[in-house]
Amino acid sequence: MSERFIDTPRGRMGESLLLQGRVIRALMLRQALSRFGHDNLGVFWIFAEPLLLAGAVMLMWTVAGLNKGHGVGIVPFVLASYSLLTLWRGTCSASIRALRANADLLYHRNLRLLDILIARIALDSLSGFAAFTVAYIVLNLFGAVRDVDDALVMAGGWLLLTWFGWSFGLIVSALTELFEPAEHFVPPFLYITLPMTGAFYMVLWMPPSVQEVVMWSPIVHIFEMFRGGMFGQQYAADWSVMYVAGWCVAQMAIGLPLLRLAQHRYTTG
Amino acid sequence: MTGAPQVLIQNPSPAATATPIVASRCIRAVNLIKEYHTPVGVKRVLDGISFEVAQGEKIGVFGSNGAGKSTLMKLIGGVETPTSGVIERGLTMSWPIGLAGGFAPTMSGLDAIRFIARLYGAPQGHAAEQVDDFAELGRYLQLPISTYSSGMRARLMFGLTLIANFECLLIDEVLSVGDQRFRKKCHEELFVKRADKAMILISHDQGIVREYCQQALVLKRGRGRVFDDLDLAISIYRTL
Repeated sequence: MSERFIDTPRGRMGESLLLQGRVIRALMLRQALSRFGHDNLGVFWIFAEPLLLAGAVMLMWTVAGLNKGHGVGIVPFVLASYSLLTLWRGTCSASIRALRANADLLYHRNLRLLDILIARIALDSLSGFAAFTVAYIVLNLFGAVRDVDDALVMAGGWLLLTWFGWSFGLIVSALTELFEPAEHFVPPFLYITLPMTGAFYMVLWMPPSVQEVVMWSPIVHIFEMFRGGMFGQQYAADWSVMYVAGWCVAQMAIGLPLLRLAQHRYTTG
Repeated sequence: MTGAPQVLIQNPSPAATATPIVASRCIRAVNLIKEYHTPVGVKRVLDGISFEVAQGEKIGVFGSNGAGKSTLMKLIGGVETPTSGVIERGLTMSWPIGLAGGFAPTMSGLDAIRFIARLYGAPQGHAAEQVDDFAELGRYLQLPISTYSSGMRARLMFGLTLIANFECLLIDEVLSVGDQRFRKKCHEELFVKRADKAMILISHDQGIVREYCQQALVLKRGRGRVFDDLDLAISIYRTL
């Protein structure tokens, strides 16, 4: 049995990465267990949720007689918005006081707060994308949605939102830990910024003056990229990966030191 | 201790752990200070605590309630950071034995075992056997931890710490919980089977500390002193 498993602070780089990989995997499995449970119904609902939504939307639009002539089709549009929005909001909400919620785990010496945060977003992102993919394939088989234009661009957009949400979550984690009232600002913030996510419109539907404003939002870029991959480039505004990446790097540059400070100040009370 | 070459054993095999103690292979706390910000001002809970535990050595920690034992445990355990001072961990260190470290109540006993085994890279089948040899939970291992009695939970938590082969064990009053049989088994696992491990033992039980420890840290209102003479340490603790 290998005994090279605990707290090797001066270990070699490769060894550290191996250890971190193992720790993150263990954390993801733990998280999956507590989220989805044993009876496998938890997993079922992850996949059922987006399908339920798509079904409800189809029903509503059929009843209202609006299911034709919308350029991109309402079902894939809503499905994409819902999936992206769920990942984004889930990331933010779960970051609130993440340190406090996971303090007991930190007694394990080979595990850092950052590992916990990485494991959580990785699981959220993977399960969210899997749910979207399954829903899309099912709807595609029933002819409710077209084939995607470029799956790789979609995956890229999803990854970009994962990075963006994670780096934003670092700041949320740190601020909610440092200032108690901060957690009360997160839900209103998420609500107020909803129009800046691009969940309810495509940028090209907007008049040019509005387009100019919403394209300042990095999340709009991500939504456009995802839908660009889904429907085809001609339906999406020109998104910039570099612009979003810049935001992510900046958020990490603020979030990581802040989180370190929060952890230093942290008391279990 | 000083002046010895810094030798780092990257991959301590059972043979290597039996080699003579090397300077860097120890847990060392230097001048730990911990302050809490409270509504009534800054409160210094620990004030200049220093000690050192080398491989295989055992140190007892005495202190009445409020002396700073739990805070010291949190700092050594790494869940909080000291306001100033340094903790060097040259030995692989356990989480506080008996403490429920990060198990969601919905997890079953087996889930907890698998999680710890994955986290520390131990084979899972072996780990489950090892834990249940101690915990004797049998089929209860498949039920959520939230359904366990406090005794069952204590046995599971103790059993989990046996999975990873720690070089230094952090023990906080675990021996004072549970029934006679549990205590006897704990005693066997800790002081007989793991007699060669380093330990930081927080205990009100002066007998155990006198029997197994080479030194004792006596805490009083955040200040502390290490004694090599255990009888002296105990008599001072009694007068506190």
